[in-house]
Amino acid sequence: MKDVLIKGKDLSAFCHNLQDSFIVYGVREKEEGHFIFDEIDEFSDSLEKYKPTILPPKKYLFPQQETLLRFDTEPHLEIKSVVESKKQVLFGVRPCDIHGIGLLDKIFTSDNEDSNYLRKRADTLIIGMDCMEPCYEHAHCASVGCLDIDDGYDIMMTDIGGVFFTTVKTPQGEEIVKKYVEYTIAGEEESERFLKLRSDRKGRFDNKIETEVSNLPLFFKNADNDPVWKELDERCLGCGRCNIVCPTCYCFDVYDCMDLTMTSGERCREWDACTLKDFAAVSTGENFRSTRGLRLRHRFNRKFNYLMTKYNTSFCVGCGRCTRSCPVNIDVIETVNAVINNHNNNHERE
Amino acid sequence: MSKPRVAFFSFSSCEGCQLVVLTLEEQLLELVTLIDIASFREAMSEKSDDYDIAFVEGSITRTSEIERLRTIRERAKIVIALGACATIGGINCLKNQFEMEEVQNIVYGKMAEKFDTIPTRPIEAVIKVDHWIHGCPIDKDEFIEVTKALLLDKKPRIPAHPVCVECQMRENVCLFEKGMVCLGPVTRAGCKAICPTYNDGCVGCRGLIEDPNLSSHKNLLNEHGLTVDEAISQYMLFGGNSKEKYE
Amino acid sequence: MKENNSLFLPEIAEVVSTRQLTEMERYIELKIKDTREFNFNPGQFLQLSVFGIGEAPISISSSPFNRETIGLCVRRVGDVTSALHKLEVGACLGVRGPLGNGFPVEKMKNKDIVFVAGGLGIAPLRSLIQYVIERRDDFARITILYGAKNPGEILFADELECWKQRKDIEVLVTVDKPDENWAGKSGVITRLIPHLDLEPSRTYAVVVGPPVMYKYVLLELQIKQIPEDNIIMSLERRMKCGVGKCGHCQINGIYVCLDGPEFSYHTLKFLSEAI
Repeated sequence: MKDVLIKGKDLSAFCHNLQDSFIVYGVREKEEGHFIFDEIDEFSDSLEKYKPTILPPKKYLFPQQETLLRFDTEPHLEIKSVVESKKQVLFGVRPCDIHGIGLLDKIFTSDNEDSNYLRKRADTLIIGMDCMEPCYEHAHCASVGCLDIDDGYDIMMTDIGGVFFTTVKTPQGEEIVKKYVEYTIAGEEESERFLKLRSDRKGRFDNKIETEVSNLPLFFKNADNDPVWKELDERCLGCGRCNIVCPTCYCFDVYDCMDLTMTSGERCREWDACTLKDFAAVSTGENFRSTRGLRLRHRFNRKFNYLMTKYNTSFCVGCGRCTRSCPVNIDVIETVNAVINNHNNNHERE
Repeated sequence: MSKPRVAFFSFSSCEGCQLVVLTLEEQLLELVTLIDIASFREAMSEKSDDYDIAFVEGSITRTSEIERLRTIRERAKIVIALGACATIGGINCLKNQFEMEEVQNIVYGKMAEKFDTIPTRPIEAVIKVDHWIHGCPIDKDEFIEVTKALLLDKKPRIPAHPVCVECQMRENVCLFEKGMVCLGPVTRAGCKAICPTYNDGCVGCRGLIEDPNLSSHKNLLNEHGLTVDEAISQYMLFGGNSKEKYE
Repeated sequence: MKENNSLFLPEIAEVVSTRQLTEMERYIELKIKDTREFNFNPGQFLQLSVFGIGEAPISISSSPFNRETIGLCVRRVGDVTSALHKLEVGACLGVRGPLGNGFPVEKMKNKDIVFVAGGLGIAPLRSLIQYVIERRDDFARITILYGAKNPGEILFADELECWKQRKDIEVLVTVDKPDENWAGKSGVITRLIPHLDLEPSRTYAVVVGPPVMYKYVLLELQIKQIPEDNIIMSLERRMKCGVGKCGHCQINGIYVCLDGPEFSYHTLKFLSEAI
C-alpha cells in the first residue's frame, strides 16, 4: 500500500474503531509527567510527545506473570499447555520500543521457539509513532542505532504538521487502515516534507556514546576488572528496577501454584531480574554472582556484549528507562563511557 | 493422610493478622477441608493443646510470654511467625528506645510495679521458628502460600527481593521520583507494594532484605533532605529490634 | 509453531524402580509413557517435574544403549529432589528432554580417557562410562578416578568394583575422610592425578564434580600437559527453563543448558564466571 495521510483529529476515531476487533492498548498519563500503556478507547493529541512509559509495551507480549501449564494430579496425572492470547493493537509505540519488541522476537524464536510469546506476538498489531526530537534527557536511541526503524511495525505514523504521514508495512496494517480510519493517499509534497523532517531530525539526536556502538562488545570483553564495577557495587541498591523497566530484559522464574483443591494447579513464569541477589544462586549454596557489582556487570554485558555478540545488534534500545528509574542515579551512558575511557586510559598508562 | 491440626496464638499485638486470616472467607472454607483448627480464639470458643502447626502472632514483651511461647514450641511440630510483631518485633520495638522502668511508668503509672516489661523481641529470639509470614498486617495470599507449602512439604515461595520489584511491576511512579522517601529498596517484598501503590512510602514492616545496601540507601534518604537521625528513625518504626544494622 | 508442543510441556513418565544409594542419593528408573524409544547422548539431562512442587534439572545416569528406561541419580537438596525421593514405583511425573548436548564422544574415539568424578559427579559420568565400556574397542586406555567425602557417600560402589575387576580399565577410588573400615586410598581426588602415567596428546580428561573441585583438578591436569581442548567439564548452574530462555544458567556469554552442560577447558578459561 502507498503511504497515506491521516489527520490528527481522526486518530481518536481510529483508536475507537479498532476496538471492534481488537483490544487497543495505548498511552495514558498515569500521573503528571508519568505515562503507562493501558487499555484506551481514544487518543489524545497531548500524548503525542509522551516520555517513555514506566514499563515498555513488552508486557502485552511477555506479561509480568503468565501461566504455562495447567495440571491435574488426580485421578491420574494430566498436563495441558496454556497459551493465553487475544487480538490486540499496540497504539503509538515509539521506535525504541519497536526495536525492543524486535529483539524479543529474535530471542523467543532463536534456538527454541517459545509459543507463549510467539502466539501473542502473532495476535498483535503495532502502530508506531515516530520521534522527531528526543523525548527526554535520558533518551539515547540514536546512540545505539535505534532511532531509525524500517521494520517491526504494521504501520508507522509521523507527524508532519497536523497530519500524520503513515507508512503501511504489512497486509494487516493495510487492512486496519482501510477499515478503521479515514485517510488519503500521500502526495509528492507530503512525501518530500516527510523526508525532509526525517533528515532534519538527525542533528537533534546527539551521539552520547564515545565510540561506535558496534565496538562496544570489544570494550566490554576487556572490562571484567574495570574499577567501575567496584564503584557501582557500593552504589547499587540491588533493587532490580533497571531490569523490570527494560524493553529487552526477558529473564524469568518458573514456579508451580497448587489450587486449594491440592489436586490441580498451574505452572507459571514471572519476570526475574539478574541484578537480584538470588538470581544465580544454586540450592547447594553457591552464588555464582555474589555481589551487586558482579550482577550489574552481568546486566551491562547482556546489553552490550553477550547478546550483542550473538545477535550482532545492541540489546540496549536507548529508551533511558533504566537511568530514569535508578534510585541512586546509575546512568547507562555514563557507565558505558566509563568502560570506554578506563580502557583507553589504561592503554595510555601502559 | 490425616489433616494437620492448626492453632493460632496471640502475644503482644493487635491481632490484626489473625483478622486477615478470617477475611479469607471462601478460601478459608476451602482451607478447613485441608486442615483442622485446634485453637483460634478470634474465631471460635473451643480450644485444644493438641496441634501440629502453630501460627504465632505478636512479639514478646513480658517475661510470662517467654514460658508460654516455649510451651507452644514443645507442642507444635512447626511454628510460624505471623505478622511483623512476631517476625521482626514490629511497632512494639519502639519501646526499646527507652529504659524499661520509664516505659512501665508511662504506660501503667501508679500500677507500674504490678506489670513487668522487657525489651521487645521477635519470637525467633526465644524459640526456633520454621517459617515467617511477614507484614503489618500479613498478606492474605502469602498466608495461603505458606499453608499450602506446608501441606505439600515444600519451601514457601516468599520473595527475597526488595519491594521495588513488585512496585515497578505494578507500574507505580517511584516515590523518590516524586520527591518522597521510601524504604522499598531495602525492604523485603511480598506485600505487592501496597503502600507505594497508594502513594505512601514503604515503612519497612516486612523487615530488611538479606543484603540491604543500607549505606547507599541512607545516602539516598539524605539527598532527599533527611538527616542521618531522621533516616534512622524511618527504619526504627518497624525495625527497632535490629537498630545496630542501621547505624 | 506447534502449540501443543510448548517448550514447557513435559511428557508423562512412570517410575519403574527405585533404589536408595546413600542417605542423600536415590536411584530412580523411569519409563516415558507413549514413547517406544528414548535416545540421548551421555551427559544430557532432563527437567523432571513433580507437579505442585516444581521442576529441576537432573543429568541422565544410565547407559545410552538402554532405550527403554532412563536412570537418574537424585541427590536430595531441594523441594523437587526431596519430592522425587518420595516417589514410589508406579508414580507418575513429568519429563522434558533430553536437554543439553552431552559429551563429545566422537572426538574421544581412539583416545585414552581419564574420568575424574567427584561425589555426585559420577552421575552423568556413569552414562559415559557405560557407553565407553559398551564400545570398549573404540577407545584406548581407560582410567576412572573417583573421590567421595567418606566411604558412606560412595555411589555405585558395586559397579566400581565390577569395573575394577576388568583388566582393561583402571579404577582408583579415594575418600577425603576414611573411617576405620576403609582399606582404600584417602585424600582428595587431586592427589590421584600426579601418579598417573598419561600420554597428553592422546588423552581426554572428563571432569565432573562440585564447583570447588575444578580449579584444583585443572591445575593437576595442566601439569600433566593435557591439552585444554581435551579437558571436558560438565557444569551445574541454577536452571529454570533448560531451553536457553530464562537466563539463570548463563555464565558470561554462554548458556549452560543450551551450549553445554559439557564444555572444554579451552572454552571456559576465558569466562570469568565459569570456574
